Amino acid sequence: MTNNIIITWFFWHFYEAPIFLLGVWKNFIGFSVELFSTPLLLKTFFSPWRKYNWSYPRGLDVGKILETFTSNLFSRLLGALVRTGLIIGGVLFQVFILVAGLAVLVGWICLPAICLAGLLFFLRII
Amino acid sequence: MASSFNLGDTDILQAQRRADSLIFKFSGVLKNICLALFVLSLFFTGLSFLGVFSFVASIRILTFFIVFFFIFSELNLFLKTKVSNPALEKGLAEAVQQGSNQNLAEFLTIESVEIVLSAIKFCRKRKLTEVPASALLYGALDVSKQARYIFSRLGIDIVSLQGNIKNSLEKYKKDKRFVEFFPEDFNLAMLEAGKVAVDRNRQRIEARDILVGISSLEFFEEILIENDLKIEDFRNLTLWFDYLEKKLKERKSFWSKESLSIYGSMGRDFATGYTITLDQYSIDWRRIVKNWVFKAVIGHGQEIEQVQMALAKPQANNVLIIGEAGTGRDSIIEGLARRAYLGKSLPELNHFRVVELDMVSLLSQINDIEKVESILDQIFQEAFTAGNVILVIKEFHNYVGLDESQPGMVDISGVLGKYLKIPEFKFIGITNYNGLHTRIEKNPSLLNLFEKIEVGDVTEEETMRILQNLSLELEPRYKVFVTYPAIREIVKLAGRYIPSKPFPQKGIDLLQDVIVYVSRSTKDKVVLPEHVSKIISVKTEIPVGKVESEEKETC
Repeated sequence: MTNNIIITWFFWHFYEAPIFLLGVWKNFIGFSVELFSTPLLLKTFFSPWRKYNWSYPRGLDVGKILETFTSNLFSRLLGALVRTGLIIGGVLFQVFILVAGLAVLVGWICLPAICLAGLLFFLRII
Repeated sequence: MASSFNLGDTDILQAQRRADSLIFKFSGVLKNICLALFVLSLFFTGLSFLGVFSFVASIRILTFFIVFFFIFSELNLFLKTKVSNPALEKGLAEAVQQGSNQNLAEFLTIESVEIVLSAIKFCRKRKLTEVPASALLYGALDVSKQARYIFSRLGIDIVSLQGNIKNSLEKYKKDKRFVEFFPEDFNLAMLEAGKVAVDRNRQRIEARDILVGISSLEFFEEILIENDLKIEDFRNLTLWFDYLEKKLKERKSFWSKESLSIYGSMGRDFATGYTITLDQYSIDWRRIVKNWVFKAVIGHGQEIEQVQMALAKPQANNVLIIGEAGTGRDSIIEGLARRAYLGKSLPELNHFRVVELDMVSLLSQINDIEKVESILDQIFQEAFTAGNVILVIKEFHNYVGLDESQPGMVDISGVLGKYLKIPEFKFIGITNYNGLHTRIEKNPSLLNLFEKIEVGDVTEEETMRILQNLSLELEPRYKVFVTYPAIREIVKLAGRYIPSKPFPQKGIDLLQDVIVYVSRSTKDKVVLPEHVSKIISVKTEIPVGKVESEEKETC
């Protein structure tokens, strides 16, 4: 460790800590993807809602076939609708994580300048 | 042995001096004060809108406190992450290999440096000609929180121990002026501490490593013998401390992948089916294991692996766990549930819900056998279609191979059998040997659908660790402090006097009884071995502990 604490602090504040924050940011991005599972939602977009699925009857009962088809169609549409909501929610959350992460990172790097500006403001210089 | 230990020109000593400087030392407290004052000034800024204060002045004060909050927070963070941990030129393992030629002082933590400094200060004050290893113990008890915690757990009176060490140090050779000389026992202790730190995958020598290093020396052994303890006890306790520290660190690191994975996934649940009927009669182990803090599954690692492998097979995925009640059968389920929840199980099982079907509740609510079978069919159908359920039935032998219907028992083999053949249906039955032989083996075709996994014994060492973790959960609830000797006594006496139950259950039951006894029936706040003897005496009507030894003497 260098004897000069100022140089050590400079290195830590502007290099080591931002690398750590980038790691944390990456974890949160991974968490937001995992929480909403957007890729899985897209993959199963038209799958029946909560696996509600009706089997088609044997024989040629057109009424029953149509009824089952309609039920299954609604199940899939309902699934798509709810998934759309969650995908939108997920995208918004991911955008928030991206923006918040960037804000924290920029805020951290600018923290010394922010503190200096704050002190100058307090001392009525600004 | 030539001494190479030299704290004088090390980076860690410099770090310790910096950490001890006013600006760093009080940064944590000042940070909190500034935050509190910032919140208070927010209130005054609000009042400034009513014209009570000048708005600009209140904003300036607000800015002042938030700026200093940032400054002290940064200083505190800088101290904890950088200043306290200066870069090392080489690894501790390499240094330990070089043995006495290497200056191990470089590898101390700040707390360990403070222990050495306290020892040196003590010897300097008394003008001793050397800094013996016993001075290290004195220093550890003087300045180290870790050391004080460990000795409190051992049930050793710290003040009295410090007094004894002080008296023994007074007998050392004195001179006109102090000489900073580290004798052979000091260097041996440091080398041993370094080895312990390497064994425990640490880059630096912690305070507890120094204590373990000293523990093999004669004077320390005498202290342990006086307190009816062994070196192994001391080592075990420091290992437990390692575990505690790891758990607390994990808990604090809210940003880590593991901590964030606790929140699960909404999207993944949408791809699975509802289990409405199952939810009415079941316990979802996912909800229980997600909130674990100190708890961990100890022992049965091999059985959990076997269960995972069996459930992940491409064909039949049914497991029969066979073991006597109290051997930790449930902990296998808990371990599986925790691993699956955190995504640390096999890919085929990750994020599955482990759901226990509460047959007792189901049968107590519905008497009609046909209705029970119809509901069970619905439950199994839901578990199968949901696509993320591992179904568990405890005391499985109560529900198969019955000759005739009995209250609270029903034969479900017919309903269950057709699902057990489906590869996507994952099922775990828990039974004991008697149940296996008398009931389940009566139906060989059903038994063939299962992979049998026998539950091995939990050792006394594993029981100790289970009880240590359990005591951490029970201590705040009952407002008592459980000492290590008390836990050791529980394992010893439970093994000797309670043959009817297996470990770890008999240990768990006894620990709970002792804690309740101390908390509710005595004025004591510390659970000691005497309390354990008392409870065992009451339970078994056999005098044990002090009473036993007194009786032996009179004979």
